[in-house]
Amino acid sequence: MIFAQEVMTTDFPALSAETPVAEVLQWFEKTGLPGLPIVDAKRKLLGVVLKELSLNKTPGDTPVGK
Amino acid sequence: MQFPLLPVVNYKGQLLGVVVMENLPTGTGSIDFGCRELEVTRENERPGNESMEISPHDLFRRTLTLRQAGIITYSPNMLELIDLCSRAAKVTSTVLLCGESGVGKELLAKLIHTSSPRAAARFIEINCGAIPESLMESELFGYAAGAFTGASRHGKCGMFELADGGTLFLDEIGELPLALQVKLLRAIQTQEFVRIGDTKARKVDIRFIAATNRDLEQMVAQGRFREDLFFRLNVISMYVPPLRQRKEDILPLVHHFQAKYSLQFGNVKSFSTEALRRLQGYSWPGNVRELENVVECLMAIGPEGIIEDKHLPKRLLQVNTETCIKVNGVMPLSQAVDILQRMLIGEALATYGDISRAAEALQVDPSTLSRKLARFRKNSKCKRD
Repeated sequence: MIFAQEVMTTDFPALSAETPVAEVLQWFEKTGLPGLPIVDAKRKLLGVVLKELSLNKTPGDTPVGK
Repeated sequence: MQFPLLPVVNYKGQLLGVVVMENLPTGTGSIDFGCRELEVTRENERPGNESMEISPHDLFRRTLTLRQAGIITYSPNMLELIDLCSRAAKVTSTVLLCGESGVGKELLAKLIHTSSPRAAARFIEINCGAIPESLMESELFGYAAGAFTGASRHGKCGMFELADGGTLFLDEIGELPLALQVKLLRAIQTQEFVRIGDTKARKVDIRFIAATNRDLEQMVAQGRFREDLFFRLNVISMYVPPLRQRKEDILPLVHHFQAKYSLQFGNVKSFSTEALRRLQGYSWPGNVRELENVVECLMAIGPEGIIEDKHLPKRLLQVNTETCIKVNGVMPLSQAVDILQRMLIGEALATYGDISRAAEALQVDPSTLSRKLARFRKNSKCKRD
């Protein structure tokens, strides 16, 4: 049996809900990940932003949490 | 919708990392990764068990979260119990955890504490069976300065004061002397106690969790445990099932302890399929503690490389053919046969993991076993509907 900790990635930015979508898209380019987790100040998971859904948004200053 | 990645969190919901589906070694996607473990559980599902209504995502997420709290389980009964713990964590009612020694009562007590609003305060544990009777009172309530010969000049605070604002876990409560049971009952009821040799009552705010491997009701009947204390403790009662009743947890636990001791001892060893089958087939009277000890011993002094079944302790190699069926009353024979079949088939599936091997062990044709399983599931569904 394989455990998640053996295959999980920890090398990604901790984005907040206030991160602009344009910046999120840049992080997708840099990391190559298909999605990025959104956390609060205590690193508590708030949600996941998926690349394919974000691409439909107009890149601008819209925070990712809106 | 298939998610291309799944976040991995600890029991506080804090992000630890993400699992990217396309990076998984199987190349089949991580939904399959989640489902594969579920499939094992589903194959082990005892016929008639109605508690398996859980999605792969939920099971995957919940078991990962629990793993961070040190709880390794895929058992539907344990997951239900953990749900109950999270509900119990929201209130301050006393919890009584019952179950055999080594099943993980202390872990569940800690889980209740860490999931409760008291998580930032202390979790104080006292083993009522490990402290001599003469010291127990001072350990619980503390004593005033110069309370008795040999006492500290400054006095000493007891577990009650240490646990103020937090949780006091009274392990092996069945071992508490009768004389102290009265004082404990009063302290739990009033949330007040007096240090030995003192006159001043001290007010505390404590959440109590007790645990026992004894049958407290029987002890009450025998006059060895106070009935009023039993009722005071038994507000939220939980029974932690023994490992032999959740065989689907055995292999994940073996792998967990294998990884733990590999890291600790700096060696890499693995178990042969037959050795794993033996480990899963054993009844584990000492439960998870016994399992951990066996794995630790094998990782420490077992052979390098592959651990075969011949390297296992002798007691694990003895086939237990002793049958114990308890008859409590008269019922229709067909119903009794049906119950026994369900139990035997469930046991075989839990031990051997798939239908063909279970059928071989039961000495029936795999198609017969599949047919019986389908019938049990249909009957269970009809009962639910």
